[in-house]
Amino acid sequence: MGRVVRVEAGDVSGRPLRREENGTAVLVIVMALLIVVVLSFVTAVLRANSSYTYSAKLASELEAQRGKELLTVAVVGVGENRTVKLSNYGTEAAVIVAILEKRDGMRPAWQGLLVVPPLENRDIAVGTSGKLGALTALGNLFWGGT
Amino acid sequence: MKPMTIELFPVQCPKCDHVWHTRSTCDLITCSGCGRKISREQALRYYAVSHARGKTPKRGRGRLRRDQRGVSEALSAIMILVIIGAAAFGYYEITRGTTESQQAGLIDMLAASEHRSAQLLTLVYQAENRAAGTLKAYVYNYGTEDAELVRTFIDNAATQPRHIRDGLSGDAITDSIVEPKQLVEMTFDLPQGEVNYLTLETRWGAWYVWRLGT
Repeated sequence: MGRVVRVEAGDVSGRPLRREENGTAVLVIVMALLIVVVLSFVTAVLRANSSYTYSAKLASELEAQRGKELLTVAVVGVGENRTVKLSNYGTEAAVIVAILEKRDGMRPAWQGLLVVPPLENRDIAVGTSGKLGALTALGNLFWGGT
Repeated sequence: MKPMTIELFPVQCPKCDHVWHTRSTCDLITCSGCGRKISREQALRYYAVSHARGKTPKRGRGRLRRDQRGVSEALSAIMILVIIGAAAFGYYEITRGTTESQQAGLIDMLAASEHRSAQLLTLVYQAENRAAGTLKAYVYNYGTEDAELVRTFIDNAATQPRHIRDGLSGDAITDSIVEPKQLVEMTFDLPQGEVNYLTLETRWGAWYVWRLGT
């Protein structure tokens, strides 16, 4: 009536061994979710921090360049035939965006973009008679003349 | 290791029709399908009768349970996934406010700092006109981002400029935004005293304080 089978010693039940995999799978999934959440958080913060660092560095460089702008402004000529002579004795190029005339505040006597390289001079003809100042792209205002 | 020989007897549970092989010689055996204690003799006889008829065992409530065994394993796996998903979703929903507020707080602070560092205002000139009772301040933005002026103070008192104009073109500026590389002329009522302080606050919380007067 019986049936003779051969089984390995230690496995007398004839049934497959049960494996405890469910708990491990749950743990792996939970850990994966946690890792994804943490990584996304850290990535977002690092990205924002990187962007801020770049902006702060750019601002620092602008301020440093602003401090290196050294211009002398001389006005030659009289009346309507005056010329502003700009001399850059600094180490950075200066970009002139306007020549301003002091008159009840300030009025523009010249507008444009003029680059004055280091150790070079540039002339700008203006047709006004008030005290003149050169405004640079970095916000420095250099006065000259009377 | 040398295999050893064990005699196994086919038995069938009369409760659930589960068929298995047992090596037990005890009077009572435990069904590996439903876990019930049943008589070994009864299980042997039930198996013999069922298979002697050459038919499948009669259908009963145990049959359903046996046939659904494979389904229940897949179902349990799906249930585990559903529970994990629900738990993860619940955890996300519960902690979303805190996590997002922390993350948003950090990122907002960094973004505001970034905006502030890109707004670089400087006072390039000031002019008093006592006859007209006005004070003109010329502010230049040498940064890389628009600076929106939200509040203006003269000597710690909030004040509104009479008007804000472009310093070069003379056009009125109505939105109080100082663009990059733009010179603006702000006209105020002439304040009292010899020395005054002009304070500007931009949208991203940058503060600029300048000493006016000689």
